[in-house]
Amino acid sequence: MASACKVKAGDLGKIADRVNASFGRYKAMLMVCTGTACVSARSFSIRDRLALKIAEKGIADDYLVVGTGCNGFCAVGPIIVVQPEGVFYQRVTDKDLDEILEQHLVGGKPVERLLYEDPATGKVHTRMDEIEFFGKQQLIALRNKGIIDPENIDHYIARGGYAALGKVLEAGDPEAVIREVIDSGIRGRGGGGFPAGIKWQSGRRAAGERGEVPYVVCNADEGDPGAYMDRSIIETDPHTVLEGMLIGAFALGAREGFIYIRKEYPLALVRLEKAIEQARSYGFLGPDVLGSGFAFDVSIHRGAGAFVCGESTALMASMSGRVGEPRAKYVHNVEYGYRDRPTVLNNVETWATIPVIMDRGASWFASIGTGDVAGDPWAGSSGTKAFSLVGNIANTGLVEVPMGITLREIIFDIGGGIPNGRSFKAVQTGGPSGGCIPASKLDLEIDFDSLSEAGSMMGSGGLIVMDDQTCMVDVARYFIDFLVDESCGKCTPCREGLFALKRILERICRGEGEEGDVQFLEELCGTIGATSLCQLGATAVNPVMSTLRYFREEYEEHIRDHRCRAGVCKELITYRIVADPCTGCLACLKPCPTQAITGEKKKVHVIDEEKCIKCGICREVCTFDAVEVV
Amino acid sequence: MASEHVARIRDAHENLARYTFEPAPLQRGYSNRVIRIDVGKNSMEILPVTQQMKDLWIGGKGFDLWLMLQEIDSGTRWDSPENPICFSSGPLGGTTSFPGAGKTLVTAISPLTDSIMDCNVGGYLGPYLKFAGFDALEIVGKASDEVVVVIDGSTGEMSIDRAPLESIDSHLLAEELTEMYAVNEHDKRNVTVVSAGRAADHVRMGVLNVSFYDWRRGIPRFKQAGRGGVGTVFRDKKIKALVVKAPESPPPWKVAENKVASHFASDKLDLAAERTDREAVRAIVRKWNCDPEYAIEMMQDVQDLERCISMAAVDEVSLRTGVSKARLYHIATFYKAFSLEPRGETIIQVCVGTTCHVKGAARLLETFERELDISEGGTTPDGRFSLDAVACLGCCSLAPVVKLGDEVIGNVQSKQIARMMKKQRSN
Repeated sequence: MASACKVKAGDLGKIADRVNASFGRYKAMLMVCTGTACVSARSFSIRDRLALKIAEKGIADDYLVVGTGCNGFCAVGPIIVVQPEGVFYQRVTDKDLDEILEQHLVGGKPVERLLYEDPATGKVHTRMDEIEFFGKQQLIALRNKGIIDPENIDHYIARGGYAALGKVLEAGDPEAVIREVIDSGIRGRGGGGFPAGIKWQSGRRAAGERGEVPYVVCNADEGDPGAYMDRSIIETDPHTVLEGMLIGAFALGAREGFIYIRKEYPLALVRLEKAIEQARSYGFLGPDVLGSGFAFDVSIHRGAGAFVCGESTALMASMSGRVGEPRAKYVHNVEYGYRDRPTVLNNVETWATIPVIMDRGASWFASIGTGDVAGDPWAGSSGTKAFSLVGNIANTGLVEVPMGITLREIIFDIGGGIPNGRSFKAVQTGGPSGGCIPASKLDLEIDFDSLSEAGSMMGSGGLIVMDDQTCMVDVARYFIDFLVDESCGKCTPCREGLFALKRILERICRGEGEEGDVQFLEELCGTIGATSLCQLGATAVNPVMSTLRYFREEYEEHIRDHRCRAGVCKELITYRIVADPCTGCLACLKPCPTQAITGEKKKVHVIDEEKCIKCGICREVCTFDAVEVV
Repeated sequence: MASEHVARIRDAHENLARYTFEPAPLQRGYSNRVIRIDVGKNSMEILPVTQQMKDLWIGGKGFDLWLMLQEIDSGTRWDSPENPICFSSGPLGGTTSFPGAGKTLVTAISPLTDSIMDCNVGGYLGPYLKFAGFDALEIVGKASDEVVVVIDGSTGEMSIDRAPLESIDSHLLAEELTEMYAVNEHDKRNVTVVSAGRAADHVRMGVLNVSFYDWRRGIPRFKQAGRGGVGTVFRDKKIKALVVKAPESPPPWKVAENKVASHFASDKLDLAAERTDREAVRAIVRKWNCDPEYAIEMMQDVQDLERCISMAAVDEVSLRTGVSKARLYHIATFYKAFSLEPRGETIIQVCVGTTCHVKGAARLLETFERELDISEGGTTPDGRFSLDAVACLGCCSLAPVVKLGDEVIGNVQSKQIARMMKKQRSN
């Protein structure tokens, strides 16, 4: 058979040296973030214009513009980082490019007004690593974020990419790979926290016993609202996912792999497709990987918008061209998964971490994080975890931190605390299946087990920070509403139970709660949790359970006093214009969709409660804070 | 079947009774009419459906039992002329939305048990009765000669004909009568024939055969009302067959906004069939190698192409992949990416993910609903905009986020929306 292989294991170093040498010829490289958040702020145009301007100036030999994946600090995008010195420019627009070109590249002086100013201390930071947001992070899965061009395989190789694969193939011992993964203690990053190595071992055993070729699958159906780590990893560094899957496939003896990706992530899909194409042309994927004789290829399945398809059995049903309904898991996927063959499914972040483990060794990885996982992966949580830090927080963005860090460190040190003078109320972790953790638990060292004990879960890693203007009953209602929508409807506890929960919560939010509702909610949650078919239903009650546990008094206020202290539940609040600050500027009259506001110039305006639909637009447009919610 | 043969047996018909009726629009699943046919007296009358029937006797079985109770007393035996055979399909009959909604309930006093029995049957009888404008049908009396009872929804005529030459055996009889009452090959789908066959003359457990025309095989096929011997009662009344014909286009079904049901409403169906570019759909299926595992991918491409999943497209995909239409509709209604009704040219997605929710996405959504005068999930009448609430666009750092077509807009405030839409409309 004609070998399509172009690159041998020994060539990797040469490619890396060549690329690094070519980078070395530039005086500076301008890393323009082109993750989804920055792209929506026109960073593609910034990247292209910058390259054009540099070419026009005739300095293209000295300066290289690179469009990178998500830098992580999405709050201040679009971002340009000038390497190697690491000057960090934020909120760049097309208009700023000339200044960067003239003053910085030619003049050698950073453009001060585009630098990051710490809102807490007022200090201006020139370099990226001085900024607190980046300070406490430790990057493994996201090690290449903001450094490489995700659409160029050479950049990945230059950073040591595919070397771990080369090492594994050269050693040629699949059992050793699995031992290494078990010893590293890595647990599934998708939320369940099942030790990846043990999963691989079972898959390999099942495949061996039945004499069938297993499959590896990458779950990129990141459905949790408020979480976008997986999307960022693929947009930033798609090759690391492929390399992880290659290593896994080798360890398991798989020849085919699949990536199931959400359709809501068009940019990630394009980058993934490009990466697969490039990996094939280099011979990293194909009939003879790196000239070792090992054959493996990857294809993509697009999801069609169903949250439940993140559940492993539902995902495999969907990959088979059926509706994504889960099945009972007394038969494991590692035994009978996709096409009834042994199938190992891991999340994007898990796959992205594997190359680093193989490269730097299990004991290095195990030394990061909590617990001693040397003998037993269940004994702790090793390594790092990526979180999307969002909500009512100053520095929103993507962070990767070692397990065992406290919530306080993430929210207040990295995240910069709560903006607008508000106070911290809760942080929601684990997506719709997770729970809300109150201020009293801020010093919780987070890992898989501590979060479960606190009534929440790790989930895929969304951290949604909520301030005191968030109503916890409304949050619980919101999640249940989402899950009612997303329940596949196969089993009764989930389909009917969640619906019943929703109706009660809606009633409470309308101020029609009754004595005994809280107890009934608890009872119902217990039943749903115990009897649902899959984890979607079993964990769906967490948002209600955790808010009941930590914020019971809010439920009671809604029921007893018909009061929503956060001013969210519409039926329990009224909008009022306060006489003092109102200047009678007429600004709120026109936007009001129901003409509920009357008033004359320079006279205090009045809201007609009968007409008011509580849309809140008047509050938004008022520049004098004269509209209050009571 | 030779047309001379059919012409010959038709010419031998002798009309015993004729009755014309107006079509009845369906309201919430009811036409509010019942037909009572007496084959002994050769009379036909239309009875109203009362509110009490709907409240207390809901469903096909309920209507049937109510009708029976009007006819029988303690002395009624299975072979009494007053023993009625009742057919009804309930308020959901003929919709395609629920399993079992195509069934017809049949009741009579059973020759086997001498008490009331019921059985249910597939085939097209119940739905076609409904399309013709009747919620239920009861037949009483005993004919003196072999008769055929015809209810024709396409012409608005009912008749009882003496029919000496027709076959007795169901498989022949249904072919003869389907041919006789259909105006052309296509029209055969609109005819259903109910018959009992020769054996029912001799045993007490005779079944009723309800036909449906299988256009792929070109023959009528049967479903059986098998329980309790209702076929024996049918033959005891000397009825050879009951023929029901649906109007050419059934009335649009207004079962409260059910997606699948509304998809089958005839006006939409015709529109969609014209619009679908079958060749383009075939190209999509070929692109995925006709592999059933990629049915979801194919449907996504179809959705992008047509902005909806049309019946014709489902037909094509099903034909070429071997995946059943039922499964394709299951997929189309399960996943959010698909819509059975055409979506707008520009889709406005308001992210209601957790972060956006915390930052007031619900208010944004309401403002859009007011601005566009449609509710979430809807499309403007001019077909330009559709409004969707989506769980998470993965741009939580920009919350609240709105996506207009392909453009992601972050940090949106309600007050900007009016201007945003003005700009969009003028584009």
